Amino acid sequence: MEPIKAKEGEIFDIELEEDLLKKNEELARQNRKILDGYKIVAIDIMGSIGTGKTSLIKNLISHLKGKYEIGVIAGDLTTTIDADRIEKEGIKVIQVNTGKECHLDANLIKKALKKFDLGALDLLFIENVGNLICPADFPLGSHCRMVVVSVTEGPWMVRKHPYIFSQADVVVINKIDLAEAMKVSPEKLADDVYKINPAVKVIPANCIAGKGMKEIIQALSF
Amino acid sequence: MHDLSVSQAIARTILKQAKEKRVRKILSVNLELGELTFLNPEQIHFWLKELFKDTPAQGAKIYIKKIFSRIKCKKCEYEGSMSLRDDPFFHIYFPLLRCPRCNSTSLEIKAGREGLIRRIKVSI
Repeated sequence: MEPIKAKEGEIFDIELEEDLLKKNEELARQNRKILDGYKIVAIDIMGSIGTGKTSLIKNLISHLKGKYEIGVIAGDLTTTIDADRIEKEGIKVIQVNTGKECHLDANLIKKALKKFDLGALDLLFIENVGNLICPADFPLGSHCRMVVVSVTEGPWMVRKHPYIFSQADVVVINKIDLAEAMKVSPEKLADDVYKINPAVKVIPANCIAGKGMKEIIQALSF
Repeated sequence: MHDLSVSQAIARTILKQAKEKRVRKILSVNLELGELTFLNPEQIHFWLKELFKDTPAQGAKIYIKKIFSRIKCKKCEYEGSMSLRDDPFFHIYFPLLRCPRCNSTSLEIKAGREGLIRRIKVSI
């Protein structure tokens, strides 16, 4: 017997108005509130793989240790290599492994903050996952966003990734000691950054030898 | 690059709503993506189609609206679109973070950073 089938039901709209990126921004605002509550200055350090983010953090720590209580959140897909490197400076480090994600997000930072004795901290460095693209979409709640680019990546790194530079407060051009060998001009890289973001501070550096550290600290102005 | 994870979040949110409202079928999905985000409409479309397979959203039409950027200058109160750098080197129009009226770099981004699920059309 052929049953009588009810007609497809009513059609209607459900207004969701759910903004997925705004959700991250809201969490970032909460992180900022927590940090401000403890008077902690947080610096988000972004840049592609192998650009010298960890070396920069290590060197900054050696300059600032003793003056400030410092904590570090190290982000990577996997391993604790970076956290282990930084821990040698005698600093509290939390490693965040994102698994497959190409960036840190505000939710992961919120979780990581719980692992610190926040009352004892003055400064927090957040090393983002090595990537010049995705972290730009995910603010973490930091007070300052720093991008590290190096001459060994070639002359077009800045032009190829304009968005991340447009959001940076400070840009470090690293490995300037290798500029000649690489035939890359740090000045041209800096020009490219200024074209994209006229308000940014660009500092040439050698993060292993410690060149440029004082200028970077000055630019961070915490 | 993170289009998959954002698509997963979109699909999760939509399918959860569908379940809560006990809808039989999701007919269409309206998204709004800001031009200043790294979300690529073509990739989001592709992943959503994949993620919707064998769910009530299978076959749903996906509409993606581009939201143009809008800034407010903190200095001269200018509010409107950003000036675009038409540099052949970039191959794309790159929005310039400078007030087109007074040249200030102290700006507030009012629009262009959206990753919004505006609405879904469903049948019960």
